[in-house]
Amino acid sequence: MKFQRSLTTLLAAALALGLAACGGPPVKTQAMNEYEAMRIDLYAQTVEERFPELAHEAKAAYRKAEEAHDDDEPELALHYTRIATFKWRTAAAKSRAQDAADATLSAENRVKIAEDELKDATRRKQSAHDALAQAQKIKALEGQMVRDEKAKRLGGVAAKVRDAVGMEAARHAPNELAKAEVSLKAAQDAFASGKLKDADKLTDTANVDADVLIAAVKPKYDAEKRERDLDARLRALLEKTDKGVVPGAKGKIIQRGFVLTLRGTFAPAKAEIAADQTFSVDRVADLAKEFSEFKLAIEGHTDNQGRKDANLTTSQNRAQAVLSYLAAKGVDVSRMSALGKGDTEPVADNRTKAGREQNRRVDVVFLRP
Amino acid sequence: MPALSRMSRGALAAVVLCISLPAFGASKQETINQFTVKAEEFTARDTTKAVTAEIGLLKAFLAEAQNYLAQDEPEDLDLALARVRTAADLIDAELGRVEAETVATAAEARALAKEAELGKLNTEIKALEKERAAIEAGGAH
Repeated sequence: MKFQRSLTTLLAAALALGLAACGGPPVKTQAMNEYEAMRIDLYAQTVEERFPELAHEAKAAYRKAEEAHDDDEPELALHYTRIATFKWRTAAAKSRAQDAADATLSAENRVKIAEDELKDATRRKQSAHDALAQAQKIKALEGQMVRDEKAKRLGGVAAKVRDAVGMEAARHAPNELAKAEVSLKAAQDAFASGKLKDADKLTDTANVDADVLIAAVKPKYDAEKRERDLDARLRALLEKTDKGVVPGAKGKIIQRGFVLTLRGTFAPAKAEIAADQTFSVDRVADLAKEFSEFKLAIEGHTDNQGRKDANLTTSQNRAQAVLSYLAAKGVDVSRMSALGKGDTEPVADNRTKAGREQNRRVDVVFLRP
Repeated sequence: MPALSRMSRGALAAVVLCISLPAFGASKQETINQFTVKAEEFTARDTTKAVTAEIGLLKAFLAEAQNYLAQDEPEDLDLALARVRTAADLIDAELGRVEAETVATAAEARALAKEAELGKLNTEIKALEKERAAIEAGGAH
């Protein structure tokens, strides 16, 4: 702006000098040139529109300055030029002040808008903060759930291996056990160090190894357990008969299971249970029902007196008679079989009376399944 | 007044003139004094030294006026006082401009500060929203 004003002043001075040289009107003073320069700058129109009265007074004063200048009254010309300049500059200053006031208003308006937006943004920030905290909480929960699920799965594999150990895997399947334990430890280590993806894969492997282990151990363990259970049951049977639960009968554990030998149950050459012996057979029925897991093989035996075929028939009839009696007492027929063996399986010397008494018998065999 | 002769009227006019001339001088002095006080007020207001030259000019005009009053040159005194008034008006307007521009600058600075604060807050909000979106998109691992 200053440069523009200086340039204008310079041009005006040059024009004045030119006119003077051509014999025109007297050269204007520097103060007059400066005033005229002010009046033609870009801002002058704005000043004139806003403060027309001051602009008019400035113009009037300047006219008087020009008149005084033309009348060769330099002091008066300077006076009016100053008046004109001051009035114009006053108008310009007031206009600038108005610009500043407008700018203040605009800035204050921006402050107000920004403050309103700040309030809103503060709320939005709080909301965003809350939403983030919520998302983090959810993520943590999801992560915990995933970890829990993986831990549960790994725990399931560990339980399989423990079960296998409990089923004596070390004895039944030592190689499979070693492999499963190594796999399980690898999976547990990966999980403990937070390598969850690795832990997943290793858990899969450990699970397969644990299943292989169980498949190798369980049948053997179950078979042994069944045997142990059977032995225990047979011992219980023996214990009961040793205590005389069945009067006159003797019990013994044998390869096939348990044999309970009844003697004196039948009168000589007869196939009906003697009346005084039914009590004993009743107790056999009780035992048969109590130990219902065993099938019963009822086997009749005779001494070697008389014809062999007659002995065989008698022994068969006697075995059948016991079967029928037991069935009548509630023992399931399908569990029982009756077989006469005649004198083919003596347990004592048939040459003596005592030996023959021993050989005449009915064996109720509780068969191992 | 019709009762007075032409001579009496002339004498009265001379008396009035004699009485009013000192009164006229007193009024001008008062004006000079008022503007002298005003010049000091302007100096106090001009904390940024924006109108030092104009205040100097005003004081020079006041000195001229005082001189014309002392020399009893009423025409020159009136012109000097006219310059004093317009200079005072100009200084007042310039100081008003400076004050208004100071206020505007401060308001602009406040607006910029608030806008910067808003921008910062919006950036923080975006960062929070981005973080939340990343968490939601990522799910749990």
